[in-house]
Amino acid sequence: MEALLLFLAVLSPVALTAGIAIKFYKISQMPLNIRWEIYPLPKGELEKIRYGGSYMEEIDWVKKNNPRRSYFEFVEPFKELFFLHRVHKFNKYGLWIWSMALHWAVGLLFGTLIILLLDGIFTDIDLSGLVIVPIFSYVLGVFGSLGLIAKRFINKELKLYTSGIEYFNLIFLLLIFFTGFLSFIQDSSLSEAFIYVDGVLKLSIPFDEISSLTIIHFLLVELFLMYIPFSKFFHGPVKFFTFHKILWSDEFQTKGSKEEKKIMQQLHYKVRWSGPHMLSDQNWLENAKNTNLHEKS
Amino acid sequence: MKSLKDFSIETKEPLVKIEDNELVSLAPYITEENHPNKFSKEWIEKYDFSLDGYTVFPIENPNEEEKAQIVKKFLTGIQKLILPESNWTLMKPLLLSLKYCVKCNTCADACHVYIGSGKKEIYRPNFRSEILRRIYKRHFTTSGKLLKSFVGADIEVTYAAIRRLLELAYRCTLCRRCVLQCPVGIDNGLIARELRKLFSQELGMAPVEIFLKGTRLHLKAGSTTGMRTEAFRDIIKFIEDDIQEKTGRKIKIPVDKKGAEILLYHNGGEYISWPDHIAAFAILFDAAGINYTLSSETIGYDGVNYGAWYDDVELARVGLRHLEIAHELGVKKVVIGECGHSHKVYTVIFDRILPASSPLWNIQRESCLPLMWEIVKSGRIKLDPSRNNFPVTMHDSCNIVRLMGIYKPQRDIIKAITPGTFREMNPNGSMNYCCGGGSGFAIFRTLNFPVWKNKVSLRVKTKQILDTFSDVLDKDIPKHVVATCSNCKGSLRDMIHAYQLFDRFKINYSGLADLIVNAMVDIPPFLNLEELPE
Repeated sequence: MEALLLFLAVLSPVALTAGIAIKFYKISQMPLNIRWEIYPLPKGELEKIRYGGSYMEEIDWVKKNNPRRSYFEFVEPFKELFFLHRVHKFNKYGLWIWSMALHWAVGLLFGTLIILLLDGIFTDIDLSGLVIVPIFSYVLGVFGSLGLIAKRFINKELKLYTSGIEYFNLIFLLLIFFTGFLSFIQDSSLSEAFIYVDGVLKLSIPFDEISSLTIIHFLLVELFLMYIPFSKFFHGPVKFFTFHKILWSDEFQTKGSKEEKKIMQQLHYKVRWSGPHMLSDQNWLENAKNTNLHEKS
Repeated sequence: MKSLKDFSIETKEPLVKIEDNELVSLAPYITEENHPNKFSKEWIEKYDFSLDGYTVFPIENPNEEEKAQIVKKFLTGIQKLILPESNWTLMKPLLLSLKYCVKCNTCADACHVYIGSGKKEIYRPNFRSEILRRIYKRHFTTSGKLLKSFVGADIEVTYAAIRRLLELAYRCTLCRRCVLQCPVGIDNGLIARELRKLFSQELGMAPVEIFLKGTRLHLKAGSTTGMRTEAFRDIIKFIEDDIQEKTGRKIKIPVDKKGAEILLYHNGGEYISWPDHIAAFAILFDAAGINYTLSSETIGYDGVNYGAWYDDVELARVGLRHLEIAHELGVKKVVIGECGHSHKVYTVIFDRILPASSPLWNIQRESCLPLMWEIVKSGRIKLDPSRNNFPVTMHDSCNIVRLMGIYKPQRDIIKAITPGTFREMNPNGSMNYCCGGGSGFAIFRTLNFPVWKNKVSLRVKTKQILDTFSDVLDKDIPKHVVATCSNCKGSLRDMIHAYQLFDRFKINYSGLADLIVNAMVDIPPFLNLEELPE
């Protein structure tokens, strides 16, 4: 059993990293979609970013050296990451405060793991003063997950869209933060947590020095790490694609680019659709070129 | 609605009923009485009104065998939507939108249909997405097959569910305003379009106005209006005569001019519904000395591309032919007239429909708005802003502003040609509300759909226009709404008739070129604010 717990502790960060990497690879291997951006875009000229303009406001834009990048593209996500500004501005169900708490809690939970790891690696540095980080994480996490469970359960409109898995995910998070909070009540310096992670780094967890509560807490955290890439929790990382690669992608093609090669390849895919006006056995280019009527009888 | 599973119930009764007193109010401007609509008994017996009591599909109820076939084809269609080969165009954004929505419903209040209806559940942007998502999960994911309703894979695919989804795909104007509110970047507008695509490309189901009388007619006859080359040439002659009569100017509108710098694509509907708009462009371009041409080739005189709203293959067919015509004429550039969806198709979407080394891709494709601003700014034509001394507002086309980022040129123009009488709608720009006629709604005339459109879809924009002019609603003050999109003008025309905005408040409308020409000092006033354009 102890060996299994140690195995999980070592496996979980590896599974998280590998899971995210595989997911990113799989998504990036999907076909190059047609341009589907939406304005305002957080890149280009500063003035245009402000009012939602694009390089297409100019005559002969294809010949001009329009600014293609700006740091706003990388600043903008932080508004969502740290403040959930779209939820704050537009959500009518009062989800923001609970959601903010839960997102910060998860962020601080990762912060906690980093602190514990650093403490284990750099033994001459004392990081026990940073115990405030996990405490905030646990309190916010309990508050946020309870609030969201209640909101989804009580509000009729939200309830309509919430299925068992959504409650499961929230209860899972609640358990993580609640067990963390209880372990803090039991051990206010969280010394057991430091001992646990130190043990993982040495591949020998001294289970006799750690309470069951702390072990359960870490077990839940490890399961959570492994679960992220394969669950709705991946909605965070996936924003790299939904925003940067789709909604904010306004780059036009250039000759000889990898995008052009992909498009050439994709135009030779078989259409496959069976509607009366489709030539299923012909490729996209052949279908596009066949502008005369060719409905099947 | 107690459960989303109700969507599959086999019943003729609509899932929701649209009650006039629940719609968003137009008070204090217009007091409406509750007029329950009575529709033909024959229709009710013959067709399916099981979504909301309205339909755009004259499809008679199939027998059980046909129903089973439709269910089978629908599921095959979903599979094709998520395959790289059959849906390379939009598979990635679709799959991400199906998989990662967190159901926070932050998108809800973005939608003019949802708001206008008095927040009917089925019109919530996430509603149709969630139905498709649950069907997808049930049939195409391991978790859905194993865990069923626990993971939300609980919608049964019945003919009734499919029939309602078909209808529901046409209760969204694809304006994508909801996307701007989503914290994850989920695209409900895209999901609505992908549903339309599935129905068209696999089952051959699409509203007659965009399929048989849309892209099919466009490819066959040359225009979605049914106008053929000879008719086009007659209309051009008529417009030239009309220009001479109205302005005293003898202008030869260039058609099929080899080696012209620009090929101008107008929305074909303009020639029939608003020929004055074509005249305005002709006067403006002639006065500015623009070296351009129109095309009389089949398809070449109608710049629309209805495939944008429902079918990728039809989109590619029409678009490719448009670019071939430009290539044959030897123009350097295609300029899109005041037509929103056509703007997006040729500048944005066609960027990745052809490889960059193709000679067709290398024909520049641009909006007419920067060019028009260049003309106004250059001083090549003399303009008197006092000619436009009446309250003016502008409706932003979703395609041009939110989906392309062309926001400023049209504003610069209006400010330059009005004596400080321009006022913005609120909200405007990329957060504008759709006119209510986007994605084909403005041209759908089948069964009782137009009643629904006028009642529900046009409602928020109607209210917004009235709010914008609230301090000058007096009937003696002419007011003007400018729209740089033909489809949006169609909506303005419909709402002005449906809500008697001209008779009650003297609210009129036109394209932007018309307003510019109205300010030209060396010809008589071009706009007649005392009459509606038709």
